[in-house]
Amino acid sequence: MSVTDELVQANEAYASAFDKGDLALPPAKRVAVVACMDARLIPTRALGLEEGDAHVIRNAGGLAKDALRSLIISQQLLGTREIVILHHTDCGMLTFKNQDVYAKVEESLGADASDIDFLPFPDLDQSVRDDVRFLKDSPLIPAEVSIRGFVYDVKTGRVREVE
Amino acid sequence: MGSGDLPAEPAKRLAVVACMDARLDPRRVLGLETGDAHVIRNAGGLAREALRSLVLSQQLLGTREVVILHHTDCGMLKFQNEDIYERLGDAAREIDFLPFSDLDQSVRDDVEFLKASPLIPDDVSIRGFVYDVKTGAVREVA
Repeated sequence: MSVTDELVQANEAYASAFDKGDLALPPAKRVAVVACMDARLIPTRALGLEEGDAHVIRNAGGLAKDALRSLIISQQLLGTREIVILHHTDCGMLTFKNQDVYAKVEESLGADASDIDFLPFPDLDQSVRDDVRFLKDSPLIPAEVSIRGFVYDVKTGRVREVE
Repeated sequence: MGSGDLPAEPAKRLAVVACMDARLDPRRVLGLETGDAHVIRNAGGLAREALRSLVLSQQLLGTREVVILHHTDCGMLKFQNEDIYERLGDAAREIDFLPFSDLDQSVRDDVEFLKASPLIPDDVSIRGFVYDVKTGAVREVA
């Protein structure tokens, strides 16, 4: 049995106890979280979010640039007014350069990935500050939207705000 | 082993691509624990925008299965690009917001996009599901 088959089985338990079929489409807390895809970071668990509370946008690094399309939809069509950026310690994005991925893809797949910027970063706190700044500077994000950035510590489970 | 000692490589060698929708929590819906899987989420749960993340997940952190998870009552079914352009003006026109008109087809399109991509290994399992926000159940589409 594949992992995917295990997930389908796990869903049967979730659905059999499900009692949240009446939640509204717009997030109740009017917040959108942008977080890294890392397996050790579960934003809903780390931040105490329940189903219906928040949009959660995730990608490699938790990068705002990659999340802009989703954030605009979240704000313009579904009314969110706060953004939380959540990067984390020991992030894979700190460990490679674009050239490393291009070489790996060439070696393992015989393919050319050089038209993709994989967006690695060398400094964790700075990556959070850069993302907050990117959104504050964007003409597509309303000036009154709250934008704050945090680092999640995968060793302790705690978040720390990056000023 | 406590959660603080988990490795960066996902234990289940799995990446989930899901919509950002507030009602859909992939962890709860699919029974995932801390350390199990990469979870990539965006408006719609669209594979095209997840490609950068998926390549990193597979090439650097060893995942071998992809689950695409869209859902009923999705906001992506309810607007057109022009609606957002009218609200935000010309600055938004360089962005395709990627709305779709057919939910099951959007899942099939994403599975097909990844299967056709030269950047995704042929031996990676790629399956697509629709989550029903009324019942909590997932249904396989592709």
